[in-house]
Amino acid sequence: MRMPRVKICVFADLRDLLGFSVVDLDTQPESVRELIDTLSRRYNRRFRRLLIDRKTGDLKRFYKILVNGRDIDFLDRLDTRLKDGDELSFFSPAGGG
Amino acid sequence: MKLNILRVNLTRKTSKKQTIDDATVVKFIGGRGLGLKILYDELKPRTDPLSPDNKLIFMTGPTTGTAVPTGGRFHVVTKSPQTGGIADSNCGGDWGPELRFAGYDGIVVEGASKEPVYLWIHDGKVEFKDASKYWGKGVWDTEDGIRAELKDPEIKLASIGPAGENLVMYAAIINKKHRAAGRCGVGAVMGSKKLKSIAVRGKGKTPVADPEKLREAVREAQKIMKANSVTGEGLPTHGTAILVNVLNKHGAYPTRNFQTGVFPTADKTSGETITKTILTGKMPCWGCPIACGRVTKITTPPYQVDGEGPEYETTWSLGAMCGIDDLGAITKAHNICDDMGIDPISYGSTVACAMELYEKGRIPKEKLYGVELKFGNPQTIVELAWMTAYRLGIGDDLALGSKRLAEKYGAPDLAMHSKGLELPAYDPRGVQGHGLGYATSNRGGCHLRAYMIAPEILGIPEKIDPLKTEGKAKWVKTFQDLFAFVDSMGACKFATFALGAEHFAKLINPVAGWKLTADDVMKTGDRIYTLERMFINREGFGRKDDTLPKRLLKEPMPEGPIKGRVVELDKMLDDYYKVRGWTDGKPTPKTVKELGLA
Repeated sequence: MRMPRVKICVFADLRDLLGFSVVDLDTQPESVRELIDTLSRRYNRRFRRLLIDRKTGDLKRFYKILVNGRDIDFLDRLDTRLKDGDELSFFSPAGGG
Repeated sequence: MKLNILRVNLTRKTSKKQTIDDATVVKFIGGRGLGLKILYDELKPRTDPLSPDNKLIFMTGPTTGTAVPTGGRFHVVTKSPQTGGIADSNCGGDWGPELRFAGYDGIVVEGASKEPVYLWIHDGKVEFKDASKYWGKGVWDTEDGIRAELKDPEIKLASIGPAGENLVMYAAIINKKHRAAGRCGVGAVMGSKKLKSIAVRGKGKTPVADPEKLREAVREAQKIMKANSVTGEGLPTHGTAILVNVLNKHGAYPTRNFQTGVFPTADKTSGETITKTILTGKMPCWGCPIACGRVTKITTPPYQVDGEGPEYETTWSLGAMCGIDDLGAITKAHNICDDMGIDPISYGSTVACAMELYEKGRIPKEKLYGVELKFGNPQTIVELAWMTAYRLGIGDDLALGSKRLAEKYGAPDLAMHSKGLELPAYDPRGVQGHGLGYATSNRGGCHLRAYMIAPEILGIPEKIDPLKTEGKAKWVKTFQDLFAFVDSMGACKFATFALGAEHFAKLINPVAGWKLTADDVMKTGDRIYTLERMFINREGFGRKDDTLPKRLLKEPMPEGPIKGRVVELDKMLDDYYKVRGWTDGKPTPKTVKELGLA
């Protein structure tokens, strides 16, 4: 089976952390959680520690992940399955007016 | 707690002090609430907003100028020339605390001067000074000039630029050169009174009933705000323009006059790009630990500038809304708006409306002096800012605001406003509750009456689905009530990313000597919001005005993550009225009585 190719977009301080703004990634059939692990292994181990709450295993409060513009909280959260052509966006805490 | 108000009559050049008793202050707090109460009681319905009969009120809150974090704000309240309803605008900077140090908690300006004047208020004394040499000048020259004239570099000023003098419908009042009481045309009211500036200076102290209890409450609030990743990290580091990519990736970043919600080159004008290319420092308002303000500089032509911004709203209104991705042009235009005293949200939206009118062949070319009013042309937002402030050529039409502009050129549906005030930087087709907030805002298209972006996009205080309509009415009311209180006490609404009603009660109680609970905070906010609604009802507003542009109700989003969506307003509006205790956009007699407004 061909590995799904997904587009990863990261913003704000996550760009400095991972060293890129946008990258296309060939992945194993993965969930968002497994993708975070992959990105941590490939780019910066701090990425997983920054995003995931150690106690609960959930995404930390105010961090945000979109799959094709939809917040994963309204999909399957970190267990959301990825498919070929998906675009993921990762945001650290933000505010404004 | 009593508050001391200065009553100024510009026609007679007289002033007198008035004390507002504690019974009134505890019901309306100060700032937005007290300013509204005075205007509601004293202004005759159907008064022409640009006539001497309109009142222009500057009001601080009990916590302005105290140790309360973000406690540096004041509120301007008047009748809006732009909408014909309530005009109220909150402002940071450093003018509010200094007014209190100078001996007054608020100013009610009545009448109009025949010639340009400025007020000089210092340690209780009030002087009417000739402003003729500043008339026609920008805010920056005015601030520098008055400080030099009065020989004190520490004077704080709230001024209008040429936009206010020339009665541009969305003229602003500016302090500290870059902080605006921006919306609803409050600057035009000031201009109609020939009042160029109010200069303040004082050595007084702000009264605090229980300094020890206040110290405890401040320590707790500071700790919470520092630990919160939005107020302690996100906002100070990246400023508000960090939201550009957030909204764009949701497909809800209004582009080319709300024709779509996706702007392909949004990142070129984002907070990330501002930080990387033009940011030189942060700028806090008085008493603020967040410091969301951006100090920026561009040294390469053609848009050299040394100033501040852009913020999220301006990088959008002068950017994607006009199809423009040139950060230099956006930053330059933002600073011209500050100097000329223009609300950049309404200005950008009006330019975008004009661009769509031009695209459809409705704007006569001879008024453009050779400028192509096309989406994406960066020259437009820079040049038209001057032309609007001085009402030159097409600037005379742009000065009307998008509603009147679109009506004049025969295409009223192309103006993106609610109640005559242009909508800000969030497409509600992707954020349903925020659409309800826009439609039910008393002052018109405003994102700061109910900032539903917080729960629906940012997950603050919890995440709710932006695409659903159920349950949104209660959230909108909660935000509207809380924000009305915060606007009245003298603090900044950004503190609400970390603090709730119980914290604001803990902060204001030791200042004012009260014993408010969190429920009291919310009920007071409800009272203020309802009185505002009664004000606009009296001016002829009702259910028909609690609406949105046809584009957002009937034209499905053409692309992106929210493709196919419209705002399902009707579903939410009836819920909202029920939750508010209103009928058809008007508070019922029972609601009015329950809130102590009968």
